[in-house]
This record gives sequence, C-alpha cells and structure tokens, in this order.
Amino acid sequence: MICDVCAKQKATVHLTEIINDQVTKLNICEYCAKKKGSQMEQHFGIADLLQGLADPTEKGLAVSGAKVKCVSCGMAYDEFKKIGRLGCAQCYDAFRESIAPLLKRIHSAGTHTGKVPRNFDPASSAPGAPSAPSSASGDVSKVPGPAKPKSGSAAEPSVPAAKGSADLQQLKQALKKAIDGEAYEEAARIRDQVRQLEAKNKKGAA
Amino acid sequence: MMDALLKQTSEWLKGTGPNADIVMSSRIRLARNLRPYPFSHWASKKQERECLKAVHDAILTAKNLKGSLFIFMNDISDLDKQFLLERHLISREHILHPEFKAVDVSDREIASIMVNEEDHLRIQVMQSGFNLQEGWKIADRLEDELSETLPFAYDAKWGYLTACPTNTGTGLRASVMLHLPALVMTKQISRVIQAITKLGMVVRGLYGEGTDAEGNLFQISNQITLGQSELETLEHIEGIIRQLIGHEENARKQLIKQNRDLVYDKIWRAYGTLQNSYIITSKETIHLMSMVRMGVDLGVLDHITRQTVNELFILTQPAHLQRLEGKLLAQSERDAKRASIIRSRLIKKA
Repeated sequence: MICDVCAKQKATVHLTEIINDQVTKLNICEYCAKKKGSQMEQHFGIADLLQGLADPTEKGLAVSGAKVKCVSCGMAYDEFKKIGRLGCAQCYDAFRESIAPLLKRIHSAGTHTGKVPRNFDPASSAPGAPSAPSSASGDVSKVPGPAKPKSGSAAEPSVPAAKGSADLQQLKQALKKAIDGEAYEEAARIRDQVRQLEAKNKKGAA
Repeated sequence: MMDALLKQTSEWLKGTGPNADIVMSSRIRLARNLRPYPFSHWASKKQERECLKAVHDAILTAKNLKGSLFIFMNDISDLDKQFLLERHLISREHILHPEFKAVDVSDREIASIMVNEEDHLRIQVMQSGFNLQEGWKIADRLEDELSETLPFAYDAKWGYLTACPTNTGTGLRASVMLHLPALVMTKQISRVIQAITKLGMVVRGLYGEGTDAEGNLFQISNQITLGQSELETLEHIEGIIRQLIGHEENARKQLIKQNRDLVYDKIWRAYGTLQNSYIITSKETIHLMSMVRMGVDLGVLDHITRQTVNELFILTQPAHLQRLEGKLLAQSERDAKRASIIRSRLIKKA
C-alpha cells in the first residue's frame, strides 16, 4: 500500500477518523505521519475548533438551528462558537445535538464512564435529588441512567496490562467490523483501546 | 495571613515521594459547577456573588477543609495575588478579574479550591514526587464531601458539565511536573514531546499554559476527560510518565558515562555562580538551579537537600522576594535580594 499523502513511500500508518459519523481512512508512511503529528501539536483553541474544523457539524446545525438559544441562560449557539465556552449547565441540553459530535471530536468518546455523584438520581437528569444510589461507596465504574445498549463491548475501556499483539489483532478486526457495520460509537471506543494497547506494547518494547 | 504561607514549605516542594529526583510534583485538578448558576464568565454579578457565598458556606462546614484559609481575591494586594500564583495556588485568570473570586488553601497547601474561575470550583491537590494516586484519593474525598451540600452539574451521559467542553466528563486534569535536564542536554526532548503529544498528553512549562519550559521543567497532563474513568486517566498518564522517567534516567547515565567532565563542569559552575552572585535575574537563577538540582540527584552536590533546591525555585520568584523583604522592590533590588537569598541557602560544602 502506498502513502496517501506523498504517494511514494510504503504506507505503514493507518488512520481511521470518525467525525460526526463520517469515516475517513488514511494510509500514510511514517514520515508523513510524523509531519501530520507535528501539525496537530500546534495549539488551537476550542473556538478555532468550532469555527474551522467542525464543518461537518455545521451542516447539521443549519437544519437543527444555529439560532438555537439556551432558555435558561440566554446564550445562543453562535455565541458559544465565538467564545468557546458554554453559558450554563443547561446549555448542554439546549445544544445537545451540536455538542454531541463536538465532544466526540475532542475526546474521541461520547459517554462518561467516571465518577457519579453520590446523590445522583438516574431517574431525573437533575442531580441533587436525594435517592438511594447504587454506588454509595463511590464506585466509579458504573454510570447509572438511561440504559445504553453496549453491543459487543466485551472489551470495556480498561485494557488488561498483559495483552499482547494477538489481542491487538483481534481489536483491530473488531474495529474494522464496527466500522463496516457503521457502529461508529463502538468503533471509536475500540480505536481508543487499540491506541492504549499500542502505547503499552511500545512501552514494553522500549 | 500570607505570612503563614511564606513561613511554611508547601507539601509539594518537600522533594519526597516516589521518583522525587525526576518528578518534582504531581497535581490533580477537578472542575465542578453548581447547576443553579451560569458558568462564571456568563453569570451576572449577583449570580457570581450568590455562587461564591454558596461555595464559601460549603467550605466552612467541610471537615476535610477544617482550618483552611479562605481568601477573597478582591481583599488582597496585587503583590499577594502574584505570590499565590507563584505558589501554584491560583491561575493567571484568577488575577485578571478578581471580583467575586476566591481561593481556599488547606493545611500545608495540599488542597486548594479556586472559586469562580472558569468553572465555579477548581479543586486542586498537589503532592511531592510521582504520586497522582494519593492526590486523586484526597481530591475524590474532598469532592464527595462538597457534593453533599453543593448541587454539582452532572449529566447521565456526559458526566460533570464544565464551561469548556474540553473538560466535560470527569473534569479531571492530572499533571506531573518533571525535571528533564539530561533529555534536553542530549537533544532528545523534542522527539519525546512529540511522542507524548500523540498519546493525548499536553506539555507545558513551569507556570502552565503558554509558558516556556524554563529550568528544564515540563508539566505533562492529560487532554481527554470523557470516555475514561478517573483511574483509567491516571493509569494512562502514569504509564507515559514512567517511560519518561526511564528515558531521563538513561540519558543521565549516558551523559555521565560519555561526558562526565562536561556534566560535572556544568553542575559545579552553576553552583559556583549561584554561590557567588550579588546580582542575578530570575531567568538565570532558574537555569542554573536546574543544573544544581541535577547535581543533587546525581550525588555530586551531596551536601544540599532536594527540598532546599525546590524551595529556591519558588522563593526566588519576584513576589516571594518582595514578601520576604516585607516591601515592594524595584527590579535591580530584586536581583540583589535574590542573589542574597541564594547565597544564604546554598551552603558551602564543609
């Protein structure tokens, strides 16, 4: 396979980017990958991200409403785009459709898997409601709330330390399968595991 | 009240803890917001005041923060604001617009909470050496207690909601301050930084965003806060830091093996200059202190403690000098005061 960028060297790096449910595959050589890496290293703020790079999101917004305003604090989506900060916690609901792909873009993931407030009541989205929490001991591994189908998530985010390249192959296959099946959320999760595992292997080799 | 801080050594400067030769300090930061109020930048003065009061009340009753120092940013002088910044207790942002902002500083400066910064609460825990886990435990416990009285904004799918979507989820930023002189001297550092950046880490200088890595000090922190649990985030960054420590150790060994005289020369010259200066800028200080610190780590300067060196990095900053002197000093006066403090602290070998 030849590098997509320079069209000279053998492509050894294979990138799969999932942006707003659009899959871009890129096969590049090591040299071009390094170049791409250093380009990405340059600092850019969230406002730039929103204005320039989030074009696919923009198309969705034209329909779903660039004029949308948060009823709670009055911030318009356009203003958020300009300053890169939301107005209040309720903005997340008001701009939900536009923020979902943005979060995915920033974090390569769309679902919180960390700490849950002790007094969080999954029945209502407003925290602070006293209820009997299932995770009173501060169990951080579970997120109560709307049950999400976790199809084929046999390999949850935590990758055991001793996994070898066989697992890596398996994960890569699972990634391909997920992409082919257009299960992008799943694909993004597997991709992160692949990255983690590769980093760990690299560490082991170093 | 600042005098109390000036007299004590911050816990994170003690020079103890795992890998304290290469890792200066570990820091955990949690971003939290109160659901009823708009984020600080978007809130009205009235809302900011109310939010500040709600957080203040919660802190006053928190057992984990008993005896802590609650400082209203509007009540203190510019010099004291700078002083808190130099001690890594507040951000630049907190100095620029002090109205309705505050910081709570716990015993030995282990924990601090900025109120009404970009987020309503920025909980920070600092530890000496490579010790993110301990820092996380303290922050987790503190956050648990505060969440009993404060309604933190939380979404079932997206976790803790923050003003900037780059912090949404755990709101956790884990940072490690590393001293990497050998990687810099052997010119491997840019390659290393490039690799780390690709692994989702951010690299900054001693005083955070936009500052240079003066004194060969690098702050490395995670970028992603969504889709990873707190412990996964810590494990990820710990794995990378462990590798970095290994690289720096190797580079030091190599330097000594191949260029012993050159390394010793740099260390002793740096020490000699610091020991014998009567005027010295903060930039030159931090550069030379880096060499002295390496000398301490390598056992070359075995009569100096790591804590002395770590403290000097902070004590020689402008606001600290002026606080030690008890009055405002012009630049030239500061350079003289700095030199005098260094001479008195960097004792001669017996």
